[in-house]
Amino acid sequence: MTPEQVVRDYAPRVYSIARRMLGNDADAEDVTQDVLLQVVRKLNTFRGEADFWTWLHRVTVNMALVHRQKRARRAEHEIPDPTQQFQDGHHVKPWAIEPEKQAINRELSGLLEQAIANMPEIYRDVYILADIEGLSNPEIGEILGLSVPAVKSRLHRGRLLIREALAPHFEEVKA
Amino acid sequence: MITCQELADLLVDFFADDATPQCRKVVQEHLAHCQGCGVFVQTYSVTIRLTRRMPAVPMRPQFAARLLQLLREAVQEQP
Repeated sequence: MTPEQVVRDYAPRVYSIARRMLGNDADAEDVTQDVLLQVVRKLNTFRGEADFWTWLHRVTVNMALVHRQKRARRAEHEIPDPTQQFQDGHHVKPWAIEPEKQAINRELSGLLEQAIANMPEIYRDVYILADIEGLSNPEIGEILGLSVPAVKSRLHRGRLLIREALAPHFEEVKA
Repeated sequence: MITCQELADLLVDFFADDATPQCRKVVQEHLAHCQGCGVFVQTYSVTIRLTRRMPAVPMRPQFAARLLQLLREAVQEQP
């Protein structure tokens, strides 16, 4: 494995996870650099592709969490409970959208990225690993040190927050 | 039949690849009788599907070049 292959095959995914978890380029670049230096040093020790990707996710998330702690910018604030929207009688309007036909254009991508960035960190980390990276709930629990029920609870709340952010853009407007 | 709140609590399991037949059954039974939940679950599903199609966040080209150089140096330093 050459440095060129490492940058081509692994850097985009590592950077993307770190960027979404940390919310800025500089911190994501620091984490990506540290993770990929470990990759080139340990690449020969992996038993297979699946083994490697599990390790890569774990190291990326751990380094991002350490970086976040170093930043010490964790604002103390009340974490919203998005499940409240369901308890309120779920007066939900339908969405005028067919997802398969909806292009992820710059506007929608920006909207989703902003909604993820605005999400409380405890929901965001799980959400990124589950719905963007496609990891299973047990894998996420192992990486983040959470029980599977805790992963599911946070994932559900994260999805509700994203749904809430998208709703004004897709809700049907009755003529 | 499960309540609307119980349905909400089952959604993560329902949309998991390994959802059990029992989970699918109780959710679908509820949805067949509850229009409000039907709309909600449809929008929840769209949210998941759109997120899964999000592209990676692009790296700055300057960073990619700097990273490549750093990794080359790291490889050369290895015994």
